[in-house]
Amino acid sequence: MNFWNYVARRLIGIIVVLLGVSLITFSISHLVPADPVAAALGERAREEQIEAFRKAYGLDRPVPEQYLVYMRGLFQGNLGNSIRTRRPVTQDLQEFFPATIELSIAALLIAIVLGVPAGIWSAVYRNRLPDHLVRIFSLVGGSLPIFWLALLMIGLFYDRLDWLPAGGRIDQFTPPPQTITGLYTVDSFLTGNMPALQSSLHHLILPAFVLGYFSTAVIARMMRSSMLEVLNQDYLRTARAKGLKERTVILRHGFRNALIPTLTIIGITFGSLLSGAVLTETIFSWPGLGRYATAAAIGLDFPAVMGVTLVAGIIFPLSNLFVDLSYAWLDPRIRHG
Amino acid sequence: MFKFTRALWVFAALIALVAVIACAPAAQPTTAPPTAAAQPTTAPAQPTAVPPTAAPAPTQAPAAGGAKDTIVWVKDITDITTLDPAGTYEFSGWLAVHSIYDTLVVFEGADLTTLKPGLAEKWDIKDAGDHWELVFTLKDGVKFASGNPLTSADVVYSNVRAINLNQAPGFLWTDTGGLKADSITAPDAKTVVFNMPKTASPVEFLSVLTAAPLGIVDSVEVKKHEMTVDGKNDYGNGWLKDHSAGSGPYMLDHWTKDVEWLLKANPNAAVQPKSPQILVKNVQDPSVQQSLLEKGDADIAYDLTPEQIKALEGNKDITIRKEGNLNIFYMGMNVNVKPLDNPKVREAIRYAIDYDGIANDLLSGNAKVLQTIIPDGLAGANTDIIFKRDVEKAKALLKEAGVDGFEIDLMTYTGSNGIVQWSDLAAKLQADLAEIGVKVNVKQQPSAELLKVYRASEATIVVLAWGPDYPDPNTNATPFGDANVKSIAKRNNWLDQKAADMVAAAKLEADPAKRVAMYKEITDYIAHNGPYAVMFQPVTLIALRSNVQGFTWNPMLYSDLWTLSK
Repeated sequence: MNFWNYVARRLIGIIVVLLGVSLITFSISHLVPADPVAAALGERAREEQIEAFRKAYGLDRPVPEQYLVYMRGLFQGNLGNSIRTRRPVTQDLQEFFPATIELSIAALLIAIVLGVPAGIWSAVYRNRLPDHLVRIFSLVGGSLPIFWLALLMIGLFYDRLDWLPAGGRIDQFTPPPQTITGLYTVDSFLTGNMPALQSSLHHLILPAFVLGYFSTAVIARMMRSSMLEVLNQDYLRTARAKGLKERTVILRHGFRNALIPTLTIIGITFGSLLSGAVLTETIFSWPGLGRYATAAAIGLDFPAVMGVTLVAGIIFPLSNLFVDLSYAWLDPRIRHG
Repeated sequence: MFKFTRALWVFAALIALVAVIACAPAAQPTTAPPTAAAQPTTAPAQPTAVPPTAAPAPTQAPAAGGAKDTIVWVKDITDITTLDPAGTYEFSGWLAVHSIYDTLVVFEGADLTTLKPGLAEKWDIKDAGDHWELVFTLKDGVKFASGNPLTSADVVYSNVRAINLNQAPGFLWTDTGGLKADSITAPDAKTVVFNMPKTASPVEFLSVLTAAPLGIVDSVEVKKHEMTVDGKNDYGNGWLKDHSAGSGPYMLDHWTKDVEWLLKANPNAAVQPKSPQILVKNVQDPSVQQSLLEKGDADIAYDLTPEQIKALEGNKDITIRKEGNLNIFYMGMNVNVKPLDNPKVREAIRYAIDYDGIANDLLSGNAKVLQTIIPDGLAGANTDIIFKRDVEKAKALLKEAGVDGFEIDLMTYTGSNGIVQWSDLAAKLQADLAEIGVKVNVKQQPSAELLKVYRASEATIVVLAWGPDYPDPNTNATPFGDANVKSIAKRNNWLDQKAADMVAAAKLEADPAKRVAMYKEITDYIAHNGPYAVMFQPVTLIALRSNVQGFTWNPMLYSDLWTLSK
């Protein structure tokens, strides 16, 4: 079986996963002992309003039938209407997903840019000051609640220093860029809109750092331990014996081999960043999918919950597939098929 | 030993570069947004054959002129589903719609008892034998934002479309007003007649007419955007969701779901706003709201906690306002559950509650004791202190009822109600009732879960809040007094025909003074005989920058935005 067969097999696997996810989510959503109509219409709703609402959302039908109707719509690209926003879920996802993707990618970039070198640095200087510093940084990152860190960062960089804004995607008096991808930084760059690029970057730093800090700590620790393992391997001794510079030994021979386990963590991290964005998005007024998902869950907005779950159900396996495929690039001995 | 510092320097330099770009002083706001930026990030407007002229398309354009000309209000606005007056029934939506659309009659500021002319210069209630005629004469010279003149045809269209759309506020016309689509007529361009059945109250409906959903839309403009949806005319509902066509001081520039809405001055409005723009931004976290307010990036913060308000009280740059609020917090007792079926047991519970302790200590003075179903601020309000905590009397009442202590579940919501955690309030009541030998088991549930049980009339004791739908006493009297309408009284299984008859009579009374007297009787009767222990009426906590002028507050929880300036 060649490479493309492998990819095709994995993609089919994703479809199977999605079917399973949809069935489980739908079942759980309809088993909770709460009334979505009560959540949507509130305390004052009259009986006829409630009936009309149930009918409009198909909630008056048996649950298996509701599921079949949902799946039929899903195959036609229709995720139904959100109970909370009263709009098509696909429209909501199109609107909120790019904000979360932008935030998650920025957080991941920060995590990689800080975490990978910190891990290497820590391993190279094992049990010395740099190692201790990185380990403290990692420990704090792994244990600090994200909402607390967010409020601390706002207190420091917005309240005290006045370097960075407290929330939002762009300054309220700066026009957002023309929509191409929905990612403000990318769109402003592509359209050459420098004020928007500057403002969107300005707004992105703090939430991305807060969201990425935990991942930075995880990546740094993984990089450190895998680097330490690699540093004792025979082939590094051989490389040194050949008279290669220490930097070449570390970066060309050690780093590349130590990166494979870290890459796995990075793949998993990306998925968790999407879910971890809930608190970050709320505190930083970031209009993303995490906040949308929270509001949907609280409001028993089943169609929206299903939509978000399906998006997550696609992102997780896709990022894992991407990581698996990159193994072969890093280590030519690994072949897929 | 290998010097690893070079690689680190490279990374550090990269990070520094991004930081320099991002942290450099922000560009000056542009007064006119480039056309490239005029892409809506919300839903695109419904396809229309004719481009909108009444108000600009949603652009999420910046607030032209910048911070000086813009009042920035931060609050949680995730409740909004539409800004079409015929569909809006959320607090944040009313805040916008109230300043975009004019109504026939108005209440000014916090006074919800004196009707004033709005679009109508005068009105009259006529007894036409088998029905009421509520006749309005419109003011001359009123124009919509589009420049179209406002006529009786617009009033008829606005009401007919709301009745036919029958969205969340639809009951205001159909149930409260008893109106059908053909009930509203226009004999001439200046006169509008609401033909109401005798089962409805024109006095009550006049109060309803002040509510934001009753705002009058520009029929000429909206008709251009009508579409057929599921085989029915949508009356421009898809378009009006995020556009505006009103005659009020502001017009909607854009609403971006869960992000912000921006209002800009309507040049054709009869009343010109003090501030050219109002920007309401969605900031859900109260700590961030406080930071933005303290730094001057926000002018008004709405969702601050009582603790934050207290912390801000010494800040000379901030003014704290404790404004009216018509919500009432009550305990509901299911009379189908023993021993709550015994009126003496319910009375004992009412005497066991430490009202002053709750209002002054637990709620830090952010509420006042209220023991009847009609709060201060509404016509017919009864603010009498009927029950003073009296443990001995409560015990004696229990003894008279033949009850020697009992155990019961008390259901309440999770989280906070804005001034206190529901759990803290429940714990206080638990402690109060324990003193008379009633063991309360507190059960907290999310609203959707609790309401399911409560609606089915299967709760035992609930501790909840209720807010009026419109500023008339009947908005509370009927749900609390008449079980036939399947609202609060029914949920507590309190089927009292005397109360229902009293409520119906007061609703239809045309003489305001007599009506007030009737509500006094009703509230006293329900206070002793009903299944409720009404406890308090909260205030609305709002923090403003001290330079903000002209802040007004309507206890229906919105503000006249056009009077704001800084």
